[in-house]
Amino acid sequence: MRSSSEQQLCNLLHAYEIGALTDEDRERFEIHLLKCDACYSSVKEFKAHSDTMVRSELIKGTVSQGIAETEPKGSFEKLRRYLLPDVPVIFRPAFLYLLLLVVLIPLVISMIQMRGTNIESVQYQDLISTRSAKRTVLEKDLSNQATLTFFYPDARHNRNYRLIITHENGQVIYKDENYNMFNEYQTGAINLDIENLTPGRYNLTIKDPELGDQREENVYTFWIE
Amino acid sequence: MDLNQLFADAKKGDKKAESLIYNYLFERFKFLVGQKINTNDVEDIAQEACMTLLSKYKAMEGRENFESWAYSILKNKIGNYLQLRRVEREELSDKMDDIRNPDRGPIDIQIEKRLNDCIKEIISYYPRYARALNLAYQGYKADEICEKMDIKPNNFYVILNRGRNLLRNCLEMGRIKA
Repeated sequence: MRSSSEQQLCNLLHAYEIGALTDEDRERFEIHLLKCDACYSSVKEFKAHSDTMVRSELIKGTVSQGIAETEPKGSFEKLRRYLLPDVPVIFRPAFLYLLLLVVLIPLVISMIQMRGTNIESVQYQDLISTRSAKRTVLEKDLSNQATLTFFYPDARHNRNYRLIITHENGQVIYKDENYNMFNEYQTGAINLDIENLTPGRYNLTIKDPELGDQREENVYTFWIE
Repeated sequence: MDLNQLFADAKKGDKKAESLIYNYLFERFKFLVGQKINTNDVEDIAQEACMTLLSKYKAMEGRENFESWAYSILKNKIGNYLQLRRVEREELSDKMDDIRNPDRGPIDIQIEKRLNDCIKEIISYYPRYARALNLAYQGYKADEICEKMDIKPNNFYVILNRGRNLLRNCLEMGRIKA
């Protein structure tokens, strides 16, 4: 079995035959030829051909002319050779560019979409009935939008309820006669634009029209500050 | 054949091993001298190198590689031969370069034609080999060719050997792929 250094010397074989080795490597290879039967036989066997290859002006001309002919002629061919060289697929620039596009295009699109959207933070507040001592405050400094969620124990899914939000001075700022967005857990939600609302106390009143005055109205209180 | 083993046996006085070394090296020396010099003196130089080697090998110290030592003897013989032909010391290295392509008489037209046909095929099939060959024809050495082709030496040798295999296939079977 040949060692790796000997195998490396065996690789110099054809470079030796065509006279392409430096003086130092040529000597190394000739020393190698003294003991490597495979290389010696191979060089000896091919000697008539390698001598002819080195000496023949006809062959030199063929190679030189062939190189000129295989050089890319048009810009398309140059581009093709640049994008698809004779290397494994993963190292071809065409593959790398494609990979880059696959990664970059969605990223750029999402960035453009994000730039076009006025993203603002939204406050979420769970309202609880006025019977509770908790004070719920929406802060105008935090955002202009607020999402209020409220639990109404008698609420039924897909049934219409009346929702009214009034300021402490009696002004109605939100009214929905047919609110039917309670979910199966008797919880509803509304989005409120608080930007133009004056600070103060507000009441959210929920009433079931079908029950008339039989039941008490559910009132939730919150503050805008 | 393990040359170093033969050498060790010969040093112990094994005459058969000594004879085998002589025959073995004489053939290889002849080949190597023939690569460099084209005269009728090739056999004489090889024989003289072998005789010198056999007369000195017993005194050779074990730490030196036998084939490197044998090669150095041959190299000296070739150098002496060229000196005897009044080649000056400065010209020696040039001469050594020139004799890589010594005039060995007329080219065999048939070999040339077959090679030429095969090389034509290989150029389009494997242009990297043709490019490496073309640079070698222009006188560039391996390191310069690697630089021009922007490849590592190992790749260069792989390209050459792959090209050589294609060439052999073409010469033997008339087609470049096995």
